[in-house]
Amino acid sequence: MSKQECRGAGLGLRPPHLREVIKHSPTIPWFEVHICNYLGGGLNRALLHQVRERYPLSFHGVSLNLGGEDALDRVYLQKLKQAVDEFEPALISEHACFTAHQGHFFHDLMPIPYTLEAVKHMAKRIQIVQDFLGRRILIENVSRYFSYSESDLSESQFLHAVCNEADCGLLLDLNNAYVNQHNLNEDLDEFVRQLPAERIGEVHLAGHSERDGWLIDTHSDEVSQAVWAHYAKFCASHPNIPCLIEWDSNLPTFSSLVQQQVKAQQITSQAMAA
Amino acid sequence: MNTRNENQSYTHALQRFCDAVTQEATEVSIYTNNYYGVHAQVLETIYAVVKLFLGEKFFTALAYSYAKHYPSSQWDINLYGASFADFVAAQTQSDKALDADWQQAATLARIEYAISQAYYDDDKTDATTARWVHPIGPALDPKWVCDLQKQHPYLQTELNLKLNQAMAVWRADLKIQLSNRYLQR
Repeated sequence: MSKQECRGAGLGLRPPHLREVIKHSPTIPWFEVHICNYLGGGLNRALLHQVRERYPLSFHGVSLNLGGEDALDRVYLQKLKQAVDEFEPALISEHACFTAHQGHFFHDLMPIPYTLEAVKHMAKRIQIVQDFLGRRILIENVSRYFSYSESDLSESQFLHAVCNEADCGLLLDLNNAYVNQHNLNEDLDEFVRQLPAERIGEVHLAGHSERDGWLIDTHSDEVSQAVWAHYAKFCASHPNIPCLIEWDSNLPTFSSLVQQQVKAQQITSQAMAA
Repeated sequence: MNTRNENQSYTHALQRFCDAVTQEATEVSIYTNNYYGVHAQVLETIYAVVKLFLGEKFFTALAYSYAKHYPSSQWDINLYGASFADFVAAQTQSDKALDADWQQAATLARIEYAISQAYYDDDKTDATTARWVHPIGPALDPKWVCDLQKQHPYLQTELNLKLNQAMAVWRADLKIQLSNRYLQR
């Protein structure tokens, strides 16, 4: 097994589809998994080994708590490193947020205030993680439904500064940016323009839902037309950055996911050919 | 001095946000809804047969109540709900005491949590260690053993499983075993 690159449009692989992928070996360039579900042993990990024999993998995490103040969980980090060494994923990513506070784990991607102190704090924790893993990680912009009065940086300024300080990469989630534009009246184009493009190592695309006038990042539907349009625009100037279709709630059949992946691949291929 | 004050400011901001979520403040209602929803969802996944046993309405109400009173203390959400069986058993003392067979439900919950633990055990540590479930109240109806196998398809049970005796749950290779005897490899 050699480390391989993630190229083109990949798919988020969820446990209910593991066996189908192993049985039929669909023509998908790469898969991304929520690594927290594979850090134990047993069936999930055994099936993931079979997937890895055929496809490059990306590890996506939700538990590092990079923005939190509790000490980094060494047991979790050790398990993650063991999985990284074992599976040699092409990409490793986490979120620019906090997930736990004073021992209370919220299992949600919660926002932090965007300040210079937060930049230093998160960058230091990312550096510790990268040193421990011996690998660069990508950090993802999160969907937000709340703004801190303490923030004196925009999200893009914050992410730019963290990437420079920690020397990490960036995972651009266009659906999250779209949701933030709608909910918090932020300018998506300006957000993307202010990011360090040379550090973007992956793009996420997903569907959202609407509740009481808010757009919620539920990953429960097809990618919206508006997000596809933003992806086509981004892809035109950055065609070589791999992109991924995420779908978590109301998980459809695998063939429905493939339809979304094919659409993303078409946009990518057209941009590369232009 | 400045750095210390700034760090305190950051700490206070996170604390205020967490307090707002758990106190169900309007300005973070989406996070509060998500918090309860995610926790209830994982309970539904782990305790699929308990949900069948109690019915969706009862189970959902219990799951949300549990999520509200039992914060998660570990990163792995797949292992949330360690006290859910006790919470279910305690309903015999509530105003819903006569609405369900809470003791059977609690026994099922103990079996299902042990299944979940065994499923996510590390390969090289305690994977072959059994977790014992001691039934409380009357013996389980065999129907629920069939449902355990339907909802947890990697589960194997012995043919003559005695449902009024202690049962061991452990993982052997990739299968989860449910038996009155712990058969070490």
